[in-house]
Amino acid sequence: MKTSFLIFLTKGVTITGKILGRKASVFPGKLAYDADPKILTKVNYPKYVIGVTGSSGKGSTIELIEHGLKKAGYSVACNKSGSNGIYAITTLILNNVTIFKKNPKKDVFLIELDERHIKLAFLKPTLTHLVVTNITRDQPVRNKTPEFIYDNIFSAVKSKTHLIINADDPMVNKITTTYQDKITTYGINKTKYDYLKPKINAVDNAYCPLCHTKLIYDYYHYGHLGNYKCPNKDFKRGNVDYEGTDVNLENKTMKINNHLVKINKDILYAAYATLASYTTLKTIGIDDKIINETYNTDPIKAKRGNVYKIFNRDLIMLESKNENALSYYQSLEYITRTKGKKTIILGFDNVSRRYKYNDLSWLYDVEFEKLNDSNIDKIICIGRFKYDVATRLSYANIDEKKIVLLKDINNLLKVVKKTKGKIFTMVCFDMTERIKNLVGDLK
Amino acid sequence: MKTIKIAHLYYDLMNLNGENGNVLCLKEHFKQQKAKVEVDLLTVDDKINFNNYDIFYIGSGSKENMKIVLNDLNKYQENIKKAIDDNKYFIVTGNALGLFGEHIIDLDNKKQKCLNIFKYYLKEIDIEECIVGDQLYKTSLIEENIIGFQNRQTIMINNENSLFTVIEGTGYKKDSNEEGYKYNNFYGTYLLGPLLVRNPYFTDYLVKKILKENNLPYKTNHSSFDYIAYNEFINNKNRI
Repeated sequence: MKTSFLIFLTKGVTITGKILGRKASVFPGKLAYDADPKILTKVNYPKYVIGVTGSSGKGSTIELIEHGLKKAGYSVACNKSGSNGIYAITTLILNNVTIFKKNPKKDVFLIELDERHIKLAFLKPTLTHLVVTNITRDQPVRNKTPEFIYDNIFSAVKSKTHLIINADDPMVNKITTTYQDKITTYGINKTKYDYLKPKINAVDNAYCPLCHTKLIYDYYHYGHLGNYKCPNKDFKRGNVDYEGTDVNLENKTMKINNHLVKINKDILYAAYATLASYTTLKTIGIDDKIINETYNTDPIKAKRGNVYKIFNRDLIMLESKNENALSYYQSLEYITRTKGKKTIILGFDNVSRRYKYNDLSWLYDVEFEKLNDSNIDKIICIGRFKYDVATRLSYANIDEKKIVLLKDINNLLKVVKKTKGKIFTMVCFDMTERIKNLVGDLK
Repeated sequence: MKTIKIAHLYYDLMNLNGENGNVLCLKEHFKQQKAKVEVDLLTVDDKINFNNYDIFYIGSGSKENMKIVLNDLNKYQENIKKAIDDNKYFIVTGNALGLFGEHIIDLDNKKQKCLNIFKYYLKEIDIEECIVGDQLYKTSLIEENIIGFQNRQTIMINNENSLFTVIEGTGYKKDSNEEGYKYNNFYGTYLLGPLLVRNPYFTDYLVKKILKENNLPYKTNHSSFDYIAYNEFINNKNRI
């Protein structure tokens, strides 16, 4: 009876919150979870309960899986909004079961999972599938080390969960050495964008997890993702079940097990999201005709909402997650691959929206050296830590004449007007909103 | 002209918190002084000749990586002890401090033997009790205060030669107002930041001392971005 009441309460508070214009994705579940931390073990689940976790790429992978599942006729309950902690998971699940019989109202629960909250959400082996996109250094204040995240994810996985993993990541692939149940692997083969040596020294998991010898890479896609093997033959990426080949970001296409598939963004993480979702859909038996529709004939339209026009120039807003070097790397890679003159806006007022700490060490895990590009006209440093960002750029040997220090954000567009080329913002959440407002005021 | 040689030890294993920045910073400060400087990246199975370098840097790493490093580093115990006694410079940040102590005790009370060069040891604490936060310290070495960050899961026991005094933040253990370890030219601290990037006056102190000891010229120059960044942070009352 208590469980039914808490389900009722969650639904009621969610509806009330939405009427009041709130997102209501966290608070309703908090009420229920705090009242009964085992509540998620007391409801019934559908045939498919698919979790997606990892340091980055969860949201874009979920979006594509949902698209494919819906095309196949499944009804899907999904937390797409980025709310992926225990309270949000509780809100999602309780809002999608019936009050009295506690039966699922959807065919699939598709859940984005915070790496540290899986073990709180799934006390019983409820997950039928778990997709793990990658494990990298990310928000060290809460996530500590990649090893800590690995332990958090996989200590929560019970047998009977079918793992779908990115084998290009040795930290993720390590689970194949111990997990006894089903595992399906995916990975991207050599691309024209790869490099032979790591670009920075801070490569996570550079050593064999079994014999602790340095792994040898044939190539790196980015970070520590690539094709690696232990020289003692103890561990390797090896062959994967679903392999991406012929990645062409300019044409936004790749092949997966020889089937041509469109990628909806011209950036490598989108190829990974496509491959992870494709692997998931195939693993649960979605047929090829539906999969072809999902990616090729009726794909999710690429979001162009973050491209604006100012001063007759493109302003491309690349939101980059602070404390996550690979998130910045993706933005840097995109900028340097873009042809023609460029201006970059870089900086932040707050390191995190979760906490008030001023840890700047991660700036030195980001490969800002990539900005040594003759096509870059100016790099405008903004925000409370602009001088720290400028220090990082000067240590990356970037010509100090290119570095502009902006004291008042309200003057940003005046300064931008005097620069050349496409404008890229490489900023975190707080500055994205402020720049959008300035651009809005201009119009 | 003599070249200042820096060894970045276990650069690929002990580099969890952007500590590459400390080496970049040292290199940059020497270059600003027109000194010749070289950095060697060294790791497991490289033959490290401790006579070849003026400065050794090592940063923090995961527990797993520290074990790999200790396994390799143990063979150099005597060389490291001699190098420290010979006044070679060791700059050690984060949990790498533990490598030079007697041992590290984990949560199950298991002891991992370390280099046993100094008499202190580290003790792992529960994840919920982790020491995390901005730090403000002072030191007798320079007038300016020291800033930085801590994110650690160990405390230090038996520290008799601290490097810093805590103004705001946490010491080498929770009830201590002392932090870091100093012996000869061994400068060790839990501080992340990167330490040398965020504390240019401290870096300048080290660079000046090293240049003078090598009869190389030094000229005061506090105009680079790192000094402005430091002064902005220290003058912002809402910094912590």
